[in-house]
Amino acid sequence: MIGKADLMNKQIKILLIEDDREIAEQIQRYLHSRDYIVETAPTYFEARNKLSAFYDVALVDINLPDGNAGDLVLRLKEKGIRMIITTVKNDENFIVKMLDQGADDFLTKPFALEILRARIDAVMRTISVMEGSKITYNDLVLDQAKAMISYQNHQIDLTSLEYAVLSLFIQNPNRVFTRDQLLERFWENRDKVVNDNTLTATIKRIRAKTSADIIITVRGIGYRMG
Amino acid sequence: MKYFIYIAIWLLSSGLVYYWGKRHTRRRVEEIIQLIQQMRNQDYSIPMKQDDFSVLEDHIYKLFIELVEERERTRQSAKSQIDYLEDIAHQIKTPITNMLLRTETMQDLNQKTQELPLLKKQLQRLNSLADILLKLSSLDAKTDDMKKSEFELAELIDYALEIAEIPDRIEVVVDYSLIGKTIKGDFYWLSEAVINLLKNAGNLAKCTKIKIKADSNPLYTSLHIIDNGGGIAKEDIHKIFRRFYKTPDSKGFGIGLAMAKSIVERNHGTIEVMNVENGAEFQIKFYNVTE
Repeated sequence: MIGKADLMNKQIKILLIEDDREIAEQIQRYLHSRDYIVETAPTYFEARNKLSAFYDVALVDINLPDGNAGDLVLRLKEKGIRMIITTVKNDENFIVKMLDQGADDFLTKPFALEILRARIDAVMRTISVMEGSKITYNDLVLDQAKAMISYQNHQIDLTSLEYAVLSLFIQNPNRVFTRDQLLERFWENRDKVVNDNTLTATIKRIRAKTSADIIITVRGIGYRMG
Repeated sequence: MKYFIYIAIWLLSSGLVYYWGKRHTRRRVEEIIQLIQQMRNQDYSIPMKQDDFSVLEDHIYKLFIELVEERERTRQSAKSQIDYLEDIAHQIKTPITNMLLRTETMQDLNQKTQELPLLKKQLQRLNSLADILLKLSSLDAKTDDMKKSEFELAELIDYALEIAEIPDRIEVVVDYSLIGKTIKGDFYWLSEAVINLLKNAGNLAKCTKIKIKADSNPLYTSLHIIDNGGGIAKEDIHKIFRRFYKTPDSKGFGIGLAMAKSIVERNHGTIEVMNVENGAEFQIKFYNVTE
């Protein structure tokens, strides 16, 4: 496991897969100035050829003309490289498919460079700090042994469903979960869905018991940790 | 001898019958050719004769009418395609004009700090137009097939209200009648439709209250969104679901309501609007489709 100290010493190495030269240049220049190492590949073919080296994060444009982004996403996943996919289209279905195939996060163009950087850092953040069965994320502590979650050092009173949903997010703070993924996981085997226990209502109540930005709604896709 | 005469008469009469039959056939074939000719000249009067050939005439007539209707549809869609492109170009031109003027001002007066945020705002507007157009095209292309899951109306409203960000000055009342009512359809697309209706109400200057209620019967489940924003002018009420139609005070692109309508229809529903006391009521009916 990589601790925070290791992260600070190590420069983050990024593979930028983007065919528009001007966009690539601007992203590269910005990230460079913030101390990231950036290599670019204008095609999937060139990106594949660069995979003998290791990268921490790949930024993958999923609309490149040469072939299928899905194959590359699978290759990157195999190599344990984290991925943020970028797209000009608001094609939720395709984004959801890429997330299901292992992409960690996505950005629709145009995006602000600051946001790109924040997302890279979020994806790189090593998953919480574990002490025994406890997982910490920001102000949240998940105690799996006691099946308890506390927020800002206070234990919060959660229903079993709320606990299950929130602990999934704490365990995967960098991932976007699609609505269907969540419904499949937690709602599939429930009898009649009770009004108070719908996905939207459950998220709303978790927010009410912690803070409004603990889980963020990703419009048309799903939810992510704040 | 007698038999010979009988045979001769029989032969003669059958010959005559054959001759008349042939002549009739030839005449009817000519009439049918004439019918085709006449229809080609856009005369669609229905042939009145009743015999074996009228079945054929009927089929030809029907085929022709179908072809004519098809041609008319193609012509119409080509025309609406042109109108559509014109509308889009028009929508794009406005922010571009605005930005060109601003860059000129920036050069001219060196007012970078003042003008830059305004430039950014126009770019964002242009971007949201592109987003909406992409959404519309995926709706039209039907590549984005609608999912069919069952969910609570209350959940749909909860989600839509979270995204719509109705201004605080407006009181939103969600009626208890929503509780327990479920519909089948594509959650995200339908939430998009409801968000558009809510935003439409939220943008009305006079609106202070939005009421959301539901109803159901064996035929359909309906969702009602009622505002008190002053209602819709009589001359506008039949136009508000048209693409790019907007009232002069609207800040949008005139696409939201049209999109809501397409989405609802693609989920086996209908959408209607009527004026009520002090405002307007949008009614979405989700029909119970048996599969």
